[in-house]
Amino acid sequence: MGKTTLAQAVARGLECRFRRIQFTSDLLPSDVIGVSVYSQTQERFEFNPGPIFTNILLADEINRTTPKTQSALLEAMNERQITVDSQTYPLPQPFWVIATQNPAEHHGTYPLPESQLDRFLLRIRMGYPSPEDQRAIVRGEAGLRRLERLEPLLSLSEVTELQRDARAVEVTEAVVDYEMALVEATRRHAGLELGVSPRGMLMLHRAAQAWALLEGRGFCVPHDVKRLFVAVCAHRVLVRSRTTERPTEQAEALLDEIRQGVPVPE
Amino acid sequence: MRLPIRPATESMKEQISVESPLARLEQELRQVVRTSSDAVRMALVAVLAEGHP
Repeated sequence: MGKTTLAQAVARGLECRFRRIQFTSDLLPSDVIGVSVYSQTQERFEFNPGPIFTNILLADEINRTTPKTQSALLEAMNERQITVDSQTYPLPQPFWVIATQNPAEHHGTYPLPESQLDRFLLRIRMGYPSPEDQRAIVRGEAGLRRLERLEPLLSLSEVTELQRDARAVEVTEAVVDYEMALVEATRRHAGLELGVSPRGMLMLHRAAQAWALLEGRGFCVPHDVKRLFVAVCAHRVLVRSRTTERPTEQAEALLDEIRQGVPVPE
Repeated sequence: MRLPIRPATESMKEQISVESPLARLEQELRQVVRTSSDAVRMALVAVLAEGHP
């Protein structure tokens, strides 16, 4: 709950374009990326861009659609461009995909392979509002009615500048060593069949830099990494023996155990 | 651990101060999306780290 509101709020706050696609089993790749159609008047094929041509895309229930359509979206996420009929079209910048999944145990789902899950930076848990916040939503002081009043606070060029600032956040060797120790521990853990990939470690590093900037610092501390480790890495690992029907929660619990076991540099 | 060898640049300080647009954006988003989780902060991490949540 609240995912669409969050995605829309980020889009409004950053003055970005926002689109939402509800993924279903009969959705085709062309429904996402677009299609070339023949124009009688122009006597040539013209490209009709799909909903992927936006800044923020909410891919709702991505595991409801077939692997072919999932791949079309995930390739676009990675390359930030799409190719139709040998023509390449760059996607608008910035471009973010916020995807939601139905729990894997539900019928009629196509789980995303680990290699594709690896393309997502982190997993966000929405959680429930507190009773006080729930009251505010009912009274229209939060949620959609508040969203309608939200004014853009950052331009796209300011976002680009902030992204550059995030990459410039200092990360000492000791913090990188800590990142490596956490990642290595996932690769050696008996309960995990697949540990965190090199891409996963890079994402952890970048997320920690962004967190530090949001905390008002120009440098990372080990606790930034510790704070983000489960959110960035839990969807990238494969649990060896799935003792429950909730592998996500199981992976989070194992990574939390690793996080508590690896000493934090002082 | 070595102490931070590079403090925040002037540009960073401006961007991250309490009154900065980034801080105000986070506050506004928290007003819209009321949740007990850190979803808003995580979404902004994704924005700054150029990743897909």
